[in-house]
Amino acid sequence: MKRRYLTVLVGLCLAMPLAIQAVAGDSSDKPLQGEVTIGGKWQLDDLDRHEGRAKGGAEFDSTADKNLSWDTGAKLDYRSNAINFDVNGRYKDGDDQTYGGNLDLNRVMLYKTNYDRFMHRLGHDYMDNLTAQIFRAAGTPGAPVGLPFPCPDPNNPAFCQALPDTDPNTAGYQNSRSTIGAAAVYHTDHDPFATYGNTHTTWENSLTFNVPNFPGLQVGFDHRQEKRKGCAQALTTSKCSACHIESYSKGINEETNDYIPRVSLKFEALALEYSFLHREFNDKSQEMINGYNALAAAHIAPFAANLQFPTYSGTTLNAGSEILPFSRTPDSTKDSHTLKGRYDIDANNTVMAGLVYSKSTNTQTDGAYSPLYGEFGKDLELDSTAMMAKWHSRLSHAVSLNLFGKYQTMNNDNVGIDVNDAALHNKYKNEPADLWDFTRFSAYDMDILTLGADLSWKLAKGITLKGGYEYKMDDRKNADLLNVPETTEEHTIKLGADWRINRQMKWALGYKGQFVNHPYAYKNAVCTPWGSFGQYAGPASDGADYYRSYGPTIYDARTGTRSNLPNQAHEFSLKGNFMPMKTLSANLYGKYRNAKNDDVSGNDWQQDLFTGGLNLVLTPSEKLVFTAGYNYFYDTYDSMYCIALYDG
Amino acid sequence: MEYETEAHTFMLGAGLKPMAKLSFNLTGSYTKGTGNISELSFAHLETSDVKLSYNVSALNPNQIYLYDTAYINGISAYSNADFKELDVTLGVAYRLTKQMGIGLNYYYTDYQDDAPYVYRDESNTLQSLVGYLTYSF
Repeated sequence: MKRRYLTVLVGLCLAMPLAIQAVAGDSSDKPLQGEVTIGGKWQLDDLDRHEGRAKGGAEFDSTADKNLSWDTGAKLDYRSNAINFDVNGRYKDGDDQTYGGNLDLNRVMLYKTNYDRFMHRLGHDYMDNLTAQIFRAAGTPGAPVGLPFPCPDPNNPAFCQALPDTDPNTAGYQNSRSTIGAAAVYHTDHDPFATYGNTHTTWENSLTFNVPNFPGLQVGFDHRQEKRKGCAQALTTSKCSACHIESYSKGINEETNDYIPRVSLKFEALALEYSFLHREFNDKSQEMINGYNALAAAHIAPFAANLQFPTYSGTTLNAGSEILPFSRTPDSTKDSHTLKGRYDIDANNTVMAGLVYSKSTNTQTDGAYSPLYGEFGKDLELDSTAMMAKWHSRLSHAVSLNLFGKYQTMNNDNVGIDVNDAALHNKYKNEPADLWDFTRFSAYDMDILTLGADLSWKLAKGITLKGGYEYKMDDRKNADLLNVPETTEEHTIKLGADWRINRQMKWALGYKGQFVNHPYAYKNAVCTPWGSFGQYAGPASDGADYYRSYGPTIYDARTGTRSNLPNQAHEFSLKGNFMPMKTLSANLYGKYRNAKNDDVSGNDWQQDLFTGGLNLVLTPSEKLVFTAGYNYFYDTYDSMYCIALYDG
Repeated sequence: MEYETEAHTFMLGAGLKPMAKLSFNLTGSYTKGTGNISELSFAHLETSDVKLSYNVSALNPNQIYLYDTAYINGISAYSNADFKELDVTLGVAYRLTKQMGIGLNYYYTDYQDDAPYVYRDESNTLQSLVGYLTYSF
């Protein structure tokens, strides 16, 4: 993401010199004008040799692994009194295409379309770092069975090479090489030679009718389609096989469609607009499954099939029940009604108001109840209602005031989780079968209130002062159940000044201060008392009851509250534009942000961020232009880690 | 724990149009980015658990205990990100007639991954030539 941001910056800088290079033809005022470009690309150094390195230098270049590819384009522009249209397109290969167009029929019908497709090459995590502990299962002098023997032995490479693979499914694994307990990390890459990448496609359409016999009435329909297709790496693990990370290749095929009919009316000082959004997200990607229990059992012999998710007949595992889905995104829909209004009271006063109601639905949860497969017997819904209003007033020639407010309430369905706690197979036999069952209450059950004011004051010719205050309150309904603050209050102060000294120099200064009472945080999330570690605390007959082991010493013993959001932040910004001579223009910018949260346990959370840059454009003559730029980014976070020490 | 990222980006560009029919352009950018985790200070934790405190120093002098929270301090050594990227473009365009023109662009990208980690070494050097013919009407 950061590299793409830098690419955009570079692109903006490069645009200027490229602009004068255009091989433009006759641009006389003809009704029909156009341009056709036929070209090709010869890749001198391609990616074939290093396809696994594709992210380096070719992250967004789909043609980098082809010796020859097209680079063609065309644009056409037609202007007349009644009909105007333009189309443009560029084709490099099937994964790199851009098209666009506009049609205007006598200002009654307006149509706009844009189509864009590009490839994003993805990395392959080889998980080399996850082979943390590899030991021989037995035979080490003085070591209990399952305890360590160092491998690989750097002094005896032949011995190490003779050992079977680290994959516990490999024949002979148990007898020659193993890991201790489940706390030693290892991995299996089921497709180690795969290269990954997705093609992103966006198609936007907008159709608008200005109703001829009803001035001010406009009806329209917008459509936006987004697709993601390709292959990506899917990693999985689970509780009780958490030390075995597995990697698969997953075919990606996602599609999102937005359908937006809309109508608007302008009548004298009043403007109204209503729109309805229907969004459908469909994930037709490969459906991934993994057999966790089998792998965990093979990992070390005593680690039997005691995991909570399979089903049992008596004490016998039902074959195949340990196979579970992973890396799946549920299909969903969203319906949203938006009503906006604006009324110009007089030349100096305007009021605006809006109302948005939306319902987001997870459409893949209505199957027969099975929490492990994400089925709850009903669609899960999130309702949101938001109301907003704004008053803009020009109090005098020099002073403008904005007052605004917004209220949003959200309500998300709760979900009952019936844990398959393996009571039937003689584990947890001293506990009631529903001991671990719970209701998942959502963090999206909350109300948000925002109130604020902005003031702008033209102090003198060329000097404008700006100030603003905003109050925001988050009220969370399930705070106690989720171990988060019930109420977060945020006060934001904005100050700014624009100073146009003369035609050659302009400055803008800004400050933003945020002061937050009880920022979002997770209470009792980290840090067991010093010396605490996981140790079994239950009766011998409940050997698989891991909560008895870890509850008292790990899960319930945590005391630390942590957050990655500030309770106070200060942000300073500076922009400058100079034109010291006719041929030279420069702009300078800088932003510094200091944020911290001292309302957490242990060390403060802190952030220091600085961005700055200088860009120059020199045009000594009409035939020559130079550009130069420098941009700097620095970001540092201070946080705190507590590592719970336990086995399993 | 401190996580620090830093990036410098330099850009240069020049365009020359010595005559109405001919134009040249040269652009270049250089980016250096780094990231690292530091200031981890975990200490060894003594426990009575046979696995957690199992002494393996006889087998590996560099790893005294089988499990040791102090091993987490090693993140500082293998969390580094460090890359450099140089991009250069050189182009020339010539208008053959009032309606027709040709052009040739050369692209050079050199990406150096100085701290390979989970994605292994992603260093790459790519060069390409793009030629084109444009017809305007």
